[in-house]
Amino acid sequence: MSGSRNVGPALVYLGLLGFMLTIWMALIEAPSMGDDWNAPESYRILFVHVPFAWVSFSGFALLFGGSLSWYIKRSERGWRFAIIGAQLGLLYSLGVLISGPIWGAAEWGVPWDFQDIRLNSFAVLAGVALFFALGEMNSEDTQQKRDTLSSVGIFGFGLVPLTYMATRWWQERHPGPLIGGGNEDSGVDPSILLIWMIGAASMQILFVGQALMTNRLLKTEQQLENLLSNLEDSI
Amino acid sequence: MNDMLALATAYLALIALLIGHSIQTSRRLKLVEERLAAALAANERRSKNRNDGEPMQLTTMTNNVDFQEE
Repeated sequence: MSGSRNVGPALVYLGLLGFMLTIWMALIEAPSMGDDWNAPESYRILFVHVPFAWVSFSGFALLFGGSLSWYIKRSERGWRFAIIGAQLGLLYSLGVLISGPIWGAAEWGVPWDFQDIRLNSFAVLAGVALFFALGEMNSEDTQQKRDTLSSVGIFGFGLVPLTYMATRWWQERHPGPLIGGGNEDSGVDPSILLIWMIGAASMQILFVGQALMTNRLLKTEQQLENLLSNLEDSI
Repeated sequence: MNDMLALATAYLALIALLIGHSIQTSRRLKLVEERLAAALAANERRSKNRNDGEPMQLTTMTNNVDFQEE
């Protein structure tokens, strides 16, 4: 039992270690960019910005699956997964929304572009996770609340394919797809790809560890609430 | 924005975000587990005081803790 309790923190430590390794590789191992970039050093932000974005979609997928599971099966586990998905989706999308505008300010000269569909659809997606997380935390736990938030989680997931395809359909300012883009601009230097993959794997491990810890936290809170409720009833 | 300043700001912000979230989650978990342990102990003491001849009361109540789990 204590072994399984330690899996979450162990994965968190491992993921954080991998994240620090990614940063070290981005600073030391990644190739330098030429003068055709406005900010040839800030491009190293992208070694963590991109994995943050990939892993945020794991959070949105968990939010969608959990919401669906609650809506269809009234599953307590599904509801917990939806909460975990919203919280972690928000955490990783916050990482994207912090690092992206900083890089944009250095490279483009502006932190944001309201004409760019990718930027704005991702921001709305983060807003969905924020709405769910705040709504879950700040109101009484009723079935109506769960149904309302679940429907937000289910329909909000529709923004995921839109966000993914946005740079393929309407590329404005955000760079186009470098991996699996299917055009002549696709493709990336193998050393850059390696750092991205290490970053993505590390953050995915971190995500799983955080999800396990948050799941334990939510279960313990529920146990405490039930126990206190029983105590009150017996007085 | 200055090139190196942007790089340093972004990295520091992301490191703080991830480490801060991990510390906050583990603190919350520790706090809730301590509260649960204290509530269980209080429940046990109360049951002993009230039901000298009925030790099943505690078992029944603590089993109810998981009643909503699958």
